[in-house]
Amino acid sequence: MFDDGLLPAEAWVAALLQLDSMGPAKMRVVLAGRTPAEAWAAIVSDEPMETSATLRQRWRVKARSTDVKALWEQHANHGISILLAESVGFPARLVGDPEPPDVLFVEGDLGALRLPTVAIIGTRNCTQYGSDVAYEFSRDLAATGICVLSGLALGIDAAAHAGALAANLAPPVAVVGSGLDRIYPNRNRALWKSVAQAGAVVSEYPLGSAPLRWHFPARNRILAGLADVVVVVESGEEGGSMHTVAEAATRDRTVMAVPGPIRSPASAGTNHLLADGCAPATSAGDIVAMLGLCPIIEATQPTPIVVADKSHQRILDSFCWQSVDLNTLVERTGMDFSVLSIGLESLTQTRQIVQRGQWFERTTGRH
Amino acid sequence: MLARISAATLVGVVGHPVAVEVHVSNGLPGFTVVGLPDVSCREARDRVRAAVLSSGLAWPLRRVTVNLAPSGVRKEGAGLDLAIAIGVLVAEGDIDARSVENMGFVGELGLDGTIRPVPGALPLADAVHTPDVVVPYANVAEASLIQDRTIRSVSNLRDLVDVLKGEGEWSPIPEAVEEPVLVAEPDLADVRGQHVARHALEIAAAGGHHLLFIGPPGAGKTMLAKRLSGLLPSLDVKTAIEVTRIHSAAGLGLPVGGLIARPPFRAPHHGASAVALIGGGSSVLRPGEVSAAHGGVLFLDEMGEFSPAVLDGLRQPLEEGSVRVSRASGSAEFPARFLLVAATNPCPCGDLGRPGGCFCSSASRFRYARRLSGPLLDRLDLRVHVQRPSGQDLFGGRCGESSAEVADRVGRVRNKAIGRGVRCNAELSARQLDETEPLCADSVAMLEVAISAGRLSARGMHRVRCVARTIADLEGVDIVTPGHLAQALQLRADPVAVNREVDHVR
Repeated sequence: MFDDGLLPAEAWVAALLQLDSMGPAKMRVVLAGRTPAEAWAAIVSDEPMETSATLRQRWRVKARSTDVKALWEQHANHGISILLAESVGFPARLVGDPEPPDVLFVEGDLGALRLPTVAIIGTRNCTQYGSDVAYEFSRDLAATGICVLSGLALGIDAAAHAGALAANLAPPVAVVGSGLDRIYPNRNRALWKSVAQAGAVVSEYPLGSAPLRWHFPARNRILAGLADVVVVVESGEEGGSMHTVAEAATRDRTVMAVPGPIRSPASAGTNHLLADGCAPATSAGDIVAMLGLCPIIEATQPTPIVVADKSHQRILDSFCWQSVDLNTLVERTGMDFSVLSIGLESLTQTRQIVQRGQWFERTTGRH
Repeated sequence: MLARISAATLVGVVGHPVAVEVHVSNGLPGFTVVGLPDVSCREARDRVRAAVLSSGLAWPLRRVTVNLAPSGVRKEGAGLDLAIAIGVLVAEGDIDARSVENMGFVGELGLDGTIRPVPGALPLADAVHTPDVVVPYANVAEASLIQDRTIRSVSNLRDLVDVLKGEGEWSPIPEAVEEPVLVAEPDLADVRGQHVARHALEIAAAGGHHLLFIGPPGAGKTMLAKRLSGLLPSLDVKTAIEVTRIHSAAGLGLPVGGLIARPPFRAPHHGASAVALIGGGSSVLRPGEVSAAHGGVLFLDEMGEFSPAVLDGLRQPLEEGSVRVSRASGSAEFPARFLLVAATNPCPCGDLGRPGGCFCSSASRFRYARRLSGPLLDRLDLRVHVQRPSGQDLFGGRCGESSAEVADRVGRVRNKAIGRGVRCNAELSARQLDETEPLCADSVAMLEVAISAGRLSARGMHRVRCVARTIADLEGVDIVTPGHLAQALQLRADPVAVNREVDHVR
């Protein structure tokens, strides 16, 4: 264990973070006047520190049974690099941050952060409209050479990453709230792997950390810190996205919001932001302009889909781009139920509409 | 010295003949009842003695032994009181044994000698194998439904003894009501808007398809469900008697004419126990709500709030149309063929799992969804979303069709189903469907897409075809078109698709 002296500081920090209830505050205590390697040795030899005796006891037991070298190799095997604030490659945008992370675990390559960055964020419980907009904006931004950031959550986040990947140009970066070996939510497993392969997945939590509730607000501050512009696609009045917006405001980052119907609960937060003076994001071009770049892409136009059947067009028109239920469709179209049903079946088949539970939503037909 | 009187006791909803044997002998005065009586039956001793004395008759100051044969069947309730009293009087010689030879007795006695009504008078009177049966006056109407018995009644024990001695007259039996009196049922015309739900209600009634309403509180799910029994045709005579037996045995109220001619509507509260819903009990086997709904509608409001074990118990009756309850004390089979209508919120907040609108945590939505999934959901052929009606619908909208108009169509479809050899279209087998209406290419394509998209299982496809058959029948069309299938598919949306998106932050 004593040839471990050759290990870099990052390895010792990773080991320290594996100890019980080790957070930023305890880390500061432990590292006071010591290098990470010295701190580890101090814990093993039970040097007095400003922590409770029981905690030191627990740390000592754990530290004596931990093979730091093996842990370091485990990170390397997973393709995970560890960045300390002083490491080469630590994101420049986080230097001088009011609450910078002490350490970042990175799966993939953070090189994309040298590009202009835009965080596309929003609610997990989004509508098809939000999901479509997040996808299209991200696709167009990435195609312009802008790095799209998001949080790999369900809903808007997932659509943003999928869109950025679809452009196949600027790599996406995800900031997550769990250890990099604890993929969460599980439904995004494939997306997580693609983002890590194309760009990077970043976390400030060590391997094995569960996605705890309080990790996500902390994750949001890193997301806000890494972004040049934060775009909220859909959000309720409260929620994680509004927290990210607050973090962005304290860091003087520009916040933009996508307008939505005033009756849609999922757009309540974004419409509120617009009322407060946020810039509206109605196309990827708006965002590019906000970055001070010249938009080289065409602004997204809803692709005109050729609808062969007149009755299908009537059904699509009756959606008014909102989520509607069957009864409303019957009333709005005034069609015979049989004709309407056939129309809905074939529109679902061609993915011009999607059905979630009892709700129908119109799509821009991206999949 | 010895008397033998015909009577009956209930096991489940079926009457069993009982011979009440009374033996009066010299010895210390006493009164014992043997032959597996339950508590209320054993208490007959005190009631019978008081009733006899109150009627101005003499109680033997000798040893009285009553045997209820066959002794293997548990006797429950007070329905044997009257037979025991008559037995004692016959054994004492107060009444000539020949006058009761061809007569059975059903009834409970009050301490003053009045003859009180008993639950299950119909199956009880049916089980007594004598040409004449004496029943309490309040039970005459239901007992009269038995064709080959002469039903007799008097109001109290004193009068009965007088009649049996040839000194009095039977109470006049009211004329059997020919046309059952129809109690006004809620009318479908009261429902404003709700096109899809009305359509589904009509299909459910016509084809016997089980139905699920999904919607927030106050949307009118209960209102709609209550109108379903009004759309169903009146019960045929055989079912009507069967239903009346069950209601009689369960001690539920019967209409004036005695016969339940209209399909019953039962709506148990979601706190109901498995025994209350399915039937059973530890000593006495009673029919549950599923049997009370036999021939009619069982409405489960807030289905998500029923305990999962209770809902699981519905599978056998849904499958077989009857419930077999077995206990240590015996077993009983209750008929239970009903139309199930369930109503539920889509999630705890009731905001319909609306995209972007529901604020329930995904974990709580998942818990809700789990209760509504699986084999039970698979049996609900129609799943319909019910929204709160808009003010426009409530005040400006025109009234829809009345129940009578819809019931007319429903009756025609039901007759067509009977012509196919089934009670209703929901019972059509896959082979019958293939024979009567082979699928056209367009229909096959539509179903294939639905199956490959994971929207439909093999069983689901069969159910959709049954529903499509009903829709075609309602339109008076012989051939099932893709339009009918598309409607059936639209009315079978997965109610928990949104909820299945599990995502639980700890």
